[in-house]
Amino acid sequence: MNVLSIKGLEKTYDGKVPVHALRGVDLEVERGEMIAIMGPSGSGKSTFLNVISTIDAPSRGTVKIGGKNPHGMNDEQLASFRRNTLGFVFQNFNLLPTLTVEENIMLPMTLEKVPIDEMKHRTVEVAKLLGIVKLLKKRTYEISGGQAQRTAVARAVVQNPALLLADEPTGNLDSKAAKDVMELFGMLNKKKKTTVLMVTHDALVASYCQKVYIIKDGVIYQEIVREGDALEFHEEILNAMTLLGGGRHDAV
Amino acid sequence: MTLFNFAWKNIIRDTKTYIYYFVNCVFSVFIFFLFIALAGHPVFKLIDVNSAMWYILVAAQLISVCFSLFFITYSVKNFLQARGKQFGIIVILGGTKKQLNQLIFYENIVIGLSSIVFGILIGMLFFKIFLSAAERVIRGVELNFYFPAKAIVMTIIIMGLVFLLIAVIAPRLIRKSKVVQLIKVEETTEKMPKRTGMYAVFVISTTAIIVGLLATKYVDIVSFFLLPVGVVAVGSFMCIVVYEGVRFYIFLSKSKGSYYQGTRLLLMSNFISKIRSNLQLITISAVLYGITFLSVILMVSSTKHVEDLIRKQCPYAYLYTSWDESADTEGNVELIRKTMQNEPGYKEIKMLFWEKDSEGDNGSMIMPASMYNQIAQFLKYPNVQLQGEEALVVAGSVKQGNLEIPDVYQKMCEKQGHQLKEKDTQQNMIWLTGYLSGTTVVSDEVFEEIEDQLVVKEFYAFDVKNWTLLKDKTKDLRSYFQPLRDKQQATFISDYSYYETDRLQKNLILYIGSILCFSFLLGITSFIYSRLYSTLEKECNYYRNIVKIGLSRKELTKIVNRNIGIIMWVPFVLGLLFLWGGILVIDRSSVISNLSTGVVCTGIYGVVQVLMVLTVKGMYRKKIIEGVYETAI
Repeated sequence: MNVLSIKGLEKTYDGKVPVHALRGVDLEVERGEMIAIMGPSGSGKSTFLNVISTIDAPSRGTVKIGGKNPHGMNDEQLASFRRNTLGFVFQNFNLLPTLTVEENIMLPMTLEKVPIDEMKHRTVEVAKLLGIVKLLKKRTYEISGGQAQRTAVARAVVQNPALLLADEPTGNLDSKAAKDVMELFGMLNKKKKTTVLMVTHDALVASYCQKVYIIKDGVIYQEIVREGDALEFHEEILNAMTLLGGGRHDAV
Repeated sequence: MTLFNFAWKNIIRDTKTYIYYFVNCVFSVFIFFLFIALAGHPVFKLIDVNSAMWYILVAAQLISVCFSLFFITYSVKNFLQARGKQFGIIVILGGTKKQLNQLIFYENIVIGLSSIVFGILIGMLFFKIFLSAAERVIRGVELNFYFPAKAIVMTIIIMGLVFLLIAVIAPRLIRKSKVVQLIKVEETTEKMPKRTGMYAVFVISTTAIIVGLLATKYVDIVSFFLLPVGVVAVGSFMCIVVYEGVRFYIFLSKSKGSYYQGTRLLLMSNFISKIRSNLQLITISAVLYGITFLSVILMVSSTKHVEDLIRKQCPYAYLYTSWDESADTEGNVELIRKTMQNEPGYKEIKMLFWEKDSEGDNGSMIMPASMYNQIAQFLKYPNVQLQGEEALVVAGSVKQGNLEIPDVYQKMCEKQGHQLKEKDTQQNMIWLTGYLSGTTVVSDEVFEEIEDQLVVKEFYAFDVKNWTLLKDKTKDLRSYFQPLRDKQQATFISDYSYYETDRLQKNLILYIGSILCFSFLLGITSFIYSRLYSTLEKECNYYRNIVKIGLSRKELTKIVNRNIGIIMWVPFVLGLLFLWGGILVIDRSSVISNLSTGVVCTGIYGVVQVLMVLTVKGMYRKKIIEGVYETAI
């Protein structure tokens, strides 16, 4: 069974002029894959991620994550689904400033009512994995951007989700921090077989993945599968993005 | 970590965000505690539960609780909206609505309970000062310090219930927001409110008031609802004025092209992007300003003019009449005379009023012009010259309308071949207001012809200049005449008794009302502060982006100043309009004019508002400039 199965996904925003953000997307993601979604501005990639992550609901089509359709769930079921099946990493980290690094990581387990001893144990384990043990007692304003994003990743994976979603995870980071975070994703993908789906506009970031899907005008325009090394894959992605649309204004 | 721990950490580690909300809650508890402690003072235990004083004390507590509920709920709503993103993150991480509600509930309970403790502690600290000030303002009651144990218990119970209610209501204030809207709260703009909603509220509330005013003639209880409905009507009217004013201004400036010049585009578009919050803030502030301004003026005016008002209602310091033949009229009058004759300005008059006895006491009297002129001379009113069938109608109560010659006397005169014609009316009292429906004065000749059909009543009036200072003498006389009154033999009326009661009530209203008005003004300040503080970061981000494309510091300062100007001056001006509309309406039926007090107070309000606006502008501008340019000034 695929971790993520999308069929005929459509999303239309109603208004004076309806906006068809997604016009029929089909996608299958197997367990352990690391996928990037790319596309020009307005292509629908953020909408795509919002629908998968249950922030938004589809107008048509189905989304199944771990064999379950989250959009048919009631509030309790959906909350449990978000806690246990999904992990989300935001571009601007979205850590809670009133909590320490440790407490931010614990938050999903608090909501799941995990016993305190187990909570602490798992927090330390995931902090070790992500190299932020020394930061556990620090407040969020005391850590750098790269450290904050590591904390956000730790929070997202502490419940061993079936699918880890990331929205421009390196968007607010310098190149070194971005590299560190992508290596983290790579490590989680290899070691823990975490399935990762990220939206990015950065070809270099996308080259860390195994597959890249390019969305254009609300549909999957192209699929690029990594066959060689990262450098070749990066080159291939750049070429695809350059060819996308053919005009200067479409260059990403 | 449990949800309660999470709530606790939120409060303890982000005091800057919570302190404003906490201070509002402490202040609400503090005010309520002071009122209930005052009402529970041993001195007030002697008050009759049906008396005006008792109602004033109860009303103060009720208003305080209602205002606290509204004030804190509004603060909570703004406060929660500012944390929308945090709630969005919790939902995305898998928090259920129930858990979110629990989190908000715990936070409100913690703040509520700590507010009760601090509010009572601070109340106890200031209680002695509060009682001393009350004693000075109210005058006539001794308010010694006492330990308000009952007030403490009642405050804990009542404010505890208020906070519990708010803790239950608060989560519902954000429930309807979609997750995506909570996460992206800084990117969303508010939709323009629908006209139909505002107009519908205005039309319905105004209609309800009109119907209510008519219904009060038949059902008294309706009058209790007129005030809150009136507030809604006035508030919706102000909301419409601001909304249409803004739209008209934008339309006018767009058509002239000036909208696109200078900083106007930025200023108005920013204002429109938060139109709902702005309308809410301006409307609530305007209503509170209006109520506060008008209340202060009415209270100050009424306490300043108690003496004048009493004299307008009864122009004699003392009145005596015997009801029964067994009363020793001569002896009683001599007693009053002996007690008062040495007081400065002493004078007395024996007055005769006639009435048609066979139809019982209809409250309508008649007298000849010669008798009236004696009274007029005593009271320094103009004399009247009545020839033939001419008549003067004297009012029986203050501001009585439709003064006409009563049918009973018209018919009486007609039987003698005289058709009375009303030559003039006299609105000033020649008797205690409300006891008579009026007095008809006819020429001496006409009176002679009807005198045998009338029954005469004798009244003795006494006047002194310093009647407001004769507490002990008046008390002695009242004590003497009370048994006679109880036996229905005679009655003794003194201006001082009404003066004392009226003054006490009005001073109590002034004291309590001033504190409530101060709370309202503090509420306005709190709303404006909350609004400015909660949007500071968003505003800085907004202007930082525009500075990058060429907005100068001078232009930014201009926009910020104008923005503050709009949210502080517009409600103030609307409040003043409400004030003056209220004064003009009330003065038409009021005995005492409020115009002079209104003018003085308007001047004071203006000066205070200018100072406040300058202070807020200075502080906020500094914060914005610091935030936009990220340098300390």
